[in-house]
Amino acid sequence: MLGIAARIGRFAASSSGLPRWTAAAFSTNLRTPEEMAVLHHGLRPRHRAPKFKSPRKRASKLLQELQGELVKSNKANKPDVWGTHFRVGDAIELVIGRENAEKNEIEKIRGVVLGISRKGLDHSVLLRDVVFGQPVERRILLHSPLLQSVKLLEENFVYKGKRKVKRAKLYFLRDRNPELTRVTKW
Amino acid sequence: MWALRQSNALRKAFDSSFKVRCYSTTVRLFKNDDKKDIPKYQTINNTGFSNEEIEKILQEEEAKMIAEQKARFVESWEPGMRKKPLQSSFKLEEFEYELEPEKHLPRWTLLDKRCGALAIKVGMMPVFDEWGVRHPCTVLFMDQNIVIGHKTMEKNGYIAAQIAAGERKRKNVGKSVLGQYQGFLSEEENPPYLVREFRITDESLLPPLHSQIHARHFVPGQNIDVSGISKGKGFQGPMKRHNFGGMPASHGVSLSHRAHGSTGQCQDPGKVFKGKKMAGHMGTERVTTQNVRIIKIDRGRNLLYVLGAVPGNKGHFVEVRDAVKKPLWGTDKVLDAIDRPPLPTFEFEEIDGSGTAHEVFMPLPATDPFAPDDEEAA
Repeated sequence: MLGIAARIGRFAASSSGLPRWTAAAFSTNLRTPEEMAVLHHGLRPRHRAPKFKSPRKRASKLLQELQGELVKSNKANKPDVWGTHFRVGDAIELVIGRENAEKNEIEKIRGVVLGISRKGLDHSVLLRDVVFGQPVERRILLHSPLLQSVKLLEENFVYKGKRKVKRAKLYFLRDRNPELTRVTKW
Repeated sequence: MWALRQSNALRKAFDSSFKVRCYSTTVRLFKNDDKKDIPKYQTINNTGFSNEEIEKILQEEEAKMIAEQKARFVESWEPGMRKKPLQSSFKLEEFEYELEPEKHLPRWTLLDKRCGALAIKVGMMPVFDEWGVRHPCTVLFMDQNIVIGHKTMEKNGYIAAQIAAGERKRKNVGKSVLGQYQGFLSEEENPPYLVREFRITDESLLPPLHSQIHARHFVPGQNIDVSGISKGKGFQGPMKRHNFGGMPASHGVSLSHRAHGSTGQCQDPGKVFKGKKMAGHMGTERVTTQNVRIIKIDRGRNLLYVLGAVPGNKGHFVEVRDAVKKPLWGTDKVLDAIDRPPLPTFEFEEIDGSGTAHEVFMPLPATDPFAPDDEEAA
């Protein structure tokens, strides 16, 4: 009876196609994942039948799958929204309206990004702007079908493009001069 | 009074016309009733109509009112006669059904019950519809619902269907329970996780034995009742358990900010009544949420997307039944406005060839719900 180490050595060398006495036969770069498993655990019987999982585990896995699928498909279908890369502190313009909407139903919203909340399907952006002299904050869900496109207007708008923003949420701007967060001109 | 009626009639007549922006005003001239020759009230004509036109309009309105009163008057009325026709129904279909009940299918009423289903509460996620409205939905997964047995009036005294759902390891199921599944379990299959009964009103509504109940047993847009075992909260005080008010946090209250206060009266009755609300164990009891709407059905994966929250923890089984109070059959809110659900259960021969769309949505409103109302816009 061959020992485990010998069996592994035989298996490893034969599958890589190199003679047993070369160092390359034992290198990990030339290995497939199945061979690596054998090297770690040895040759033992594998489970053939599908593993039984309790309802709770299946439910959590299913929920993950459903949410992940939707997020992926939404991102693939709307490159205008998900292709533009923006960070906290940038000035952004969003075009909101249904696909079949007429011209007067489509809205353009501008604002400074005060914070981004990344919660899967509830991925949202908090915008602040001064509209008709009134500071206005609005949270917009990026997975909403009403959102058509996102456009980056200016990076690091809060510091006029000179400094980088070093915070995740810029709530302190609510207590500052509203001119700092004004993107629309009137 | 006549002057007031005159101004009211004018108001009615002139509201719809474009001529006038202000009404005619009535002015009270004198306080005393002694001066009988001089009129008490005088109307000032601010309207765009002349005095003759006003009189003409007023006469027409009066004639209309008199004609209405006359139409109501029933000549030669006798006690027991009906003055107005009896209206028992407002739909043509219901009139026809009342005339010839043999020719139509018997109506599906609130008293009729069909089989329900068992589902696993998977979790909550938002569902956006075509108008852009976000519905917070709970996902219910109908995991292999198979009809195991029937209960009939002859044998058991009531009518019900036994439904088994889920899977369990064979080693965890005792022999006495495995014996119940003798008929339909093969040696490789796993026995079900749990078995529940659903009451039915008629034996013809019993689904066939060993058939599966799919998500299409339910219709998108209908209301359902979901029953489950609620989340356990442990030993809780009366403020959380029974919504008691508690006492102020300051102002001299000593050591009883969240207590239940008095538990009864004095020497008479001299005891605390049974059932007095006090602190104790809360949660882990059967709770039913009623009139929960189905937003979307995933036919391929047997999923129900249901509006709102549902009792219980994720990964636990819940009972799903048609709503007892407001199932919305026959209304526009149900897909195709059907007047009854698929009976006794959905049959696979009825598949319509739309193989690509495995997700079916509830019917959406015709107008954009986000559009402003016409009055506000104007």
